Amino acid sequence: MKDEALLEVTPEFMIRAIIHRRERLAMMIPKQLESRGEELQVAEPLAKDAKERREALQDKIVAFNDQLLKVKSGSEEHQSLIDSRESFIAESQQAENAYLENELFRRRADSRTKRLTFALNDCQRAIEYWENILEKGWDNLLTDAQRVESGGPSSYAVKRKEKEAKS
Amino acid sequence: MTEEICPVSGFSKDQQERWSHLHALLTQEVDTLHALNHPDLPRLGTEIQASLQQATMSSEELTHRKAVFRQLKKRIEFEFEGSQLHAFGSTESGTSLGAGDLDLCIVVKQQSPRRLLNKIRNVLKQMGMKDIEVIGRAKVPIVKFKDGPSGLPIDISVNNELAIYNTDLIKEYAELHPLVKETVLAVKHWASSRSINEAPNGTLSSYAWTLIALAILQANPNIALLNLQENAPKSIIQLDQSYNVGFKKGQTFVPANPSMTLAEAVLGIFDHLANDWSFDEGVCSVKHGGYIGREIKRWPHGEPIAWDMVPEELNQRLGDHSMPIEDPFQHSHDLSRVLRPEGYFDIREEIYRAQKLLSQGLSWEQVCEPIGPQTTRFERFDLFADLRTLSMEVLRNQMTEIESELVKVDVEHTEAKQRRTELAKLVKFGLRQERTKPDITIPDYVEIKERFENSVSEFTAMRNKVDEINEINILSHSRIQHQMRTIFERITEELDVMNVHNLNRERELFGSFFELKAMQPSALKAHQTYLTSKQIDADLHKEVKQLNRMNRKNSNSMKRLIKRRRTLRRERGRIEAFIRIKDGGSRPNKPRAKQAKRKSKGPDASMVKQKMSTGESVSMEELNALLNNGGLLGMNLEKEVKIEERSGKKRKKRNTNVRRGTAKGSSRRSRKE
Repeated sequence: MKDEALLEVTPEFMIRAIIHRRERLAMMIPKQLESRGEELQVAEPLAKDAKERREALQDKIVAFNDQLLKVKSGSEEHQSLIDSRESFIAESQQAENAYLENELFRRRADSRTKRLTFALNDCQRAIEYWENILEKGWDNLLTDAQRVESGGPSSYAVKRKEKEAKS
Repeated sequence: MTEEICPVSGFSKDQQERWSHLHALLTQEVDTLHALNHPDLPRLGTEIQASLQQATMSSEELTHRKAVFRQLKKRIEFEFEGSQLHAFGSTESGTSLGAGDLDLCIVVKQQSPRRLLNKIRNVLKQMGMKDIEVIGRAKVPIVKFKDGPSGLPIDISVNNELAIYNTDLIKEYAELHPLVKETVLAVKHWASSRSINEAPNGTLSSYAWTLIALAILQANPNIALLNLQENAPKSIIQLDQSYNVGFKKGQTFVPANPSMTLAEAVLGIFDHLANDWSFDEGVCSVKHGGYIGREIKRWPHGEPIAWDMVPEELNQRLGDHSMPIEDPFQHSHDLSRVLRPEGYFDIREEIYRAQKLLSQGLSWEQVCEPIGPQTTRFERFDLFADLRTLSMEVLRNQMTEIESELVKVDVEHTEAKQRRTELAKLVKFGLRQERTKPDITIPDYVEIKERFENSVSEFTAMRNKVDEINEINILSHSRIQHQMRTIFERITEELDVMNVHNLNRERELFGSFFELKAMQPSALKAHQTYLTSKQIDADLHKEVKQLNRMNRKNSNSMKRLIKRRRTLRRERGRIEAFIRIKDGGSRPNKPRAKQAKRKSKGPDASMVKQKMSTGESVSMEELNALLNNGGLLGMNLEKEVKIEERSGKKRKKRNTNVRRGTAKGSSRRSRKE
């Protein structure tokens, strides 16, 4: 929109433009929400499996440690236990990485789903609110503009004065 | 071409002609050199004396040089605080030929020589000197110029203090015996006539010839000139390094052979130069009483030597110490370092020529026959030449004309000064560097002032208005537009589902958009007012530029007036002086205005007296002023005298005696009274 046209914008036009935008968003969000929900359905079991596997491997390592304490050090059995534990540790590291990756994916899908849910609710509330304003009037939203029109300081000037007073 | 080059000397055909005597000697065309004899020594003596009388400076010239030096000294020492102007060189040492220039040296601390010389140039310009040229890149930076009326060439160097001591030494030698001074002058006259005393042209300097003459007189057993530096008390000065400038003063000297004549002494010099000047083994040194070995001095003959450079490379510089001459104080300074091969051969040629002509009994005039362009002699000038033929009445008329023109110039100058002051005020006011309205009296400028006042007040009002609006809005017109566009796009057009504003923020942005819309008209007004004030400012600047141009023109006319005034004053002084001389009167003994101005007034004695009478404390300065005015008693006496004068009694003016309280020079009768 050109600068001159901006000066022609009325509150009613603006409110209608807001409502229009909100309505379009409200139409777009459900589709997005659906695909994020699918993502979440995939991510959750993956993260759960990875978590279980990681915990199982950690338990095994603990068990090996206990056995090692019981076996005499330097013996063949002791050495074989150490070797086995090492391979379990490597496996556990891989499981840990897989868990972290899957958990991150799950969290992101969850967060997006929540945000879209919130946005959808907010859009619905906003549409109601702005329609209500259209009906009842918008004067209470234009107090700063009215003050400026009557020759008073802008909110920028007020903020600056407050800041100066504080300092 | 190669056929013409001599296999012995290496000279080309032209060079063989040019340096014929030297060539003949080398190719054995003449017998080996023999002791120099002249058939008629008394005649030679007379000729030398006559030539010296003609060539050396007359007392008139000397007086003029001294007057020019005094004038320069006074002005330059006044302009450059803490500086001292000294004269040095042959004029000062009394060994100058009339054609010599006046060498001066300014001694001043903490000044860059080049910058100082540029400042001196400006002063000299004001003094009416001519052909001023600053040579700042030379080893010794100098400013060269000519005295305005007489055309006397003058050089001023900076902090060349050693030259002053050298001059003192030469002067002391010259004053030892007339024979010494005359011999030196004869050698210098010969070198000058034969153009072998021009260091810039690759021969030796006049100063070097003086040192050569002195050294030969020292080495000559018939004269045995004293060595003034031998066993002299030390006198160390610190310049770029330490120098011992001590030498014996007030010595009496009689030549070893008291009957030596000038002709014999001069002949001795040429005989020595032709037959005994062993510059291949020795260094000419006045400090060592004649000569010192190259090995002792550690001055070996540097490459290339002159003979290696014939016939075609004569313009190049010779190797170090080709014809070594030691400076008496700066022992590392070899005065032959300026030599070029051509100059080297010219010197040797001239020595053999002189020897030949003298031995043939030719006249001194023929020996000193001038070659090349001769330095023009300082012309004796008559400051009053144009006035001498005029009658007293015409002179007085001229004076009156000058006086009236001076008055006119003074008036014009005062007007120009006033214009300058008022223009400066207007410029300051136009640029708003000065808030108070300027006090303008010149009618032409009053209109400009009124226009300026209107523009400035309009400009100030506009800027105040802009400031007022900006204080309310804070944001500028363009910033508001930008913000409005951003907000509008954010809350109506953006469709990023992951970045949706919440309702509260949306409400804020809605309110902010319409606040900005409300701010826009006043911001636009402020913007337009600002643009208008900018235009007013630009117009003011344009006018100020014009004023500055006017001011420059005015300054130029002021400069012309000052110059004219100076010329007129000088002319008035000249005519005044001539009239005074013609009348046979002396200079009026009045204090100089500047000197009188410079005298500080100090505290007023009557005020101090008043202070004392009321019991107030007085400072030492005030007390001094009171005592200088005759103290309390003296003041009373003065008052009484004044009262008496008022009462109509005729009395002579009396100087009060501070101690006795009586009048100096008062008659016995008046004391009794």
